[in-house]
Amino acid sequence: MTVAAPAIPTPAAEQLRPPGALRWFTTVDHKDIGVLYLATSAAFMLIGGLEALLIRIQLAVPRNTFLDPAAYDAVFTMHGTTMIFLVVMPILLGFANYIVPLQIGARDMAFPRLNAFSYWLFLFGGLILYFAFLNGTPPDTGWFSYAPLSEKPFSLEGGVDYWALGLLVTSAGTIATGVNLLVTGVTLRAPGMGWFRLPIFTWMSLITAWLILAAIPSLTAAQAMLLIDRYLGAHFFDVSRGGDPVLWQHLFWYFGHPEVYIMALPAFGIISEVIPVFARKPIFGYGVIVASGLAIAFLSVAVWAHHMFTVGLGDVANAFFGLSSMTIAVPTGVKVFSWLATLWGGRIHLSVPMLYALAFVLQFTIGGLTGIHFATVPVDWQTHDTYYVVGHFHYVLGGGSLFAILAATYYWFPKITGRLLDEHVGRWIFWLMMVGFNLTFFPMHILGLMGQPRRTYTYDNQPGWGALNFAETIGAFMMAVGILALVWDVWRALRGGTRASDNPWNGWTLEWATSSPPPAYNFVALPPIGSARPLWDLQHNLEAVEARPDPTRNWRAPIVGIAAFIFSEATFFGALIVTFLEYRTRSPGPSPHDLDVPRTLLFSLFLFASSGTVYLGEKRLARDDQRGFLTWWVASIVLGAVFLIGQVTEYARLYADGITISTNLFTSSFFTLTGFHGLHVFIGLIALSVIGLLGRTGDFRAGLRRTAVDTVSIYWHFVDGIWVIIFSLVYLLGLVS
Amino acid sequence: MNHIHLPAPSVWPLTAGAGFSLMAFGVATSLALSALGLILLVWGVWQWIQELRHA
Repeated sequence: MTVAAPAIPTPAAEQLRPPGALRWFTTVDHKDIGVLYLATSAAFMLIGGLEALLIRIQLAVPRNTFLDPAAYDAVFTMHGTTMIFLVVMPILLGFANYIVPLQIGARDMAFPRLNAFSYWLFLFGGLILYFAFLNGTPPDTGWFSYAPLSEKPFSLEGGVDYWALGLLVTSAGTIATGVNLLVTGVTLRAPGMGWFRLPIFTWMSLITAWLILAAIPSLTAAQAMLLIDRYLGAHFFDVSRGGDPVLWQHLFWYFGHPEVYIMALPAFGIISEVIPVFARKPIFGYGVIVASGLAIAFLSVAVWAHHMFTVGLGDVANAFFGLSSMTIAVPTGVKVFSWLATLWGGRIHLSVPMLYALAFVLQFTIGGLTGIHFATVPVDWQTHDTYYVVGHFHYVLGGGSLFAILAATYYWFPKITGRLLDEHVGRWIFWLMMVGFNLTFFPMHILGLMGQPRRTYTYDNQPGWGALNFAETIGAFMMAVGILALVWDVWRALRGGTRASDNPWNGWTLEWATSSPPPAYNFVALPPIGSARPLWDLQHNLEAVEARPDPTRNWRAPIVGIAAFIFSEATFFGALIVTFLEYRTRSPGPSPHDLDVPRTLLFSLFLFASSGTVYLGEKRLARDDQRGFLTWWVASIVLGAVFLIGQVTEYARLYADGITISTNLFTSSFFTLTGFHGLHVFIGLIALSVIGLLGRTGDFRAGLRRTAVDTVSIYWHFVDGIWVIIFSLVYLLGLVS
Repeated sequence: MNHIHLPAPSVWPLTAGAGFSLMAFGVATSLALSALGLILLVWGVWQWIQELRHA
């Protein structure tokens, strides 16, 4: 094999990493940010794990008094919130951050600074959440924070506020990461890497990114409404004023069930990388695995109400969501069969990553099968508030996602650090985790069927309950020992473990084509990419390494980015609009008939006209007519400002008439929906003004930085477009109904 | 070759992130913190834009 020696690229001096700790505060390198995500999430995992141990100590024996009810509620709320928002999801995003650009042959994420911004939001959101714990007012309403328990009369202290605000901050970061991952995958793939040559982990990460944009804004909208209830006296979830706590459940689970797949799909991707490498066979059914991932993502936004069968939604809704939930088992099962078929006839190497991958397949399948039980409405009714549910979702997220994370840790640790974890110690840790996990969570199914209720701080000494609970506590401590041993092994490896080669597992995807750890620029050269396994091809067929064509700045990235962001915004506004339609005529008092439609129509025309002037400004810019561009641009800002003035004066008139956000359900939803739109107009005006200022200094002459103008224009058109819908539903619908 | 383009390290994402988070934190604690957060956010984003202009 002849190998052309490519020149080694050198970053410019000002792009080099700063020395010492400053590097970590200023880094925009996707690998550093990936490491930051992984390290921070690991720290949160130790805290969340400690909370789990406190829960298990309390439940070890009947009628225990180790924790009082309030402390138990706080600990189980923080355990769930921590593990979902600060551990599993960000660890998987951390791996995606580190690995996806490498797997597609890119030098970084599409928006490196946005990537750093996302990480800091994740960290600070977590700190806000834990500030509540340290402040003595921990959230104690469950990770789901059901209304009306989370409303002011029932939760007077600030725990719920810190919960909502902390998660709002982390969610903003997660949405930004979703945009970034999606844009990276769409625009920065190496030459030759078509859609069906993407590694499956990258595929699953991109699908997850889409799902993040589709689901998380629903939670954001719900949390915004909850905070508006608590701070401004609105009534979204206030039963005494007609508010509907079931609406909270809809909005929460519209996010909550896709969230399960946000945590599962990257895990499927990890397992789809590990199993072929350690079975020395290509993945069986690549296309089917990708298609099933897409099917899972699309179906996952249509199954949320299976979490609500005990609410009393009615037979039609129960039947629909029962069937849709059973349907989603099909693409999930397809993946399991693909992994089994990959193993079949393979030369299986039972290294530690493979052990975790095999355990994942077994445990996730158990979790999936018990999940189908919940799609069966009468079974769900019997088991809904029992430990059967706790056992089920821990098999999915613990036996599934956590074990995939452990597989990924062992699989990619050599690439990330240049060191190997100890295989012998790793096997001991694996068995501790495997036995500990199943000892902890399998008995929960039995206890659930025996009737032990979940979310309660203690239980009666029913026959068998004490022994099974005690066994669960032993299992939890076994897992704790396993995790501590893993931390020690990581520490030992970082301080002087065996050096890893560039490709210690003989993997086939591009991350193994660079050094361990990779240089700042990721690759000196890339092999030709003719399949999803370029290193396999290199080993078996190809004869030369081509110099890597360096990526040029791709004009599409910001456009794809703003489109992805708008998609998430549409979900957010969708949640607010559905709420408005539900509440617009539900309570007595002010209604849409109290709105001054002609006046608002007049001001709306100014907003709609601003889309036209923005378009004309862009046209002038395309002809390099700077004066014409600035004229139309300033006109757009003025028109948008007039609309905003119209909205402010409308609010002032309504408030003068005694119609406020706390008057009734209509006003709560009206002011929230139109207020958030007004906020978007305000932010859009700032963006237009910044572009205008830069335009004055000649930033956009001769076609320079046109993408910035196009991106802001698209956002502005969205702000105008969504107002067409809002105006029609809020004002015009009031006229005809 | 072989001078490749890599984005330079930057403190502005951290500044903007701290500002945004402080705005949220201030809602539950003190609106003065929210105001400080807003200033940090605006400053961070503006400097971020300047970096992009000169990248």
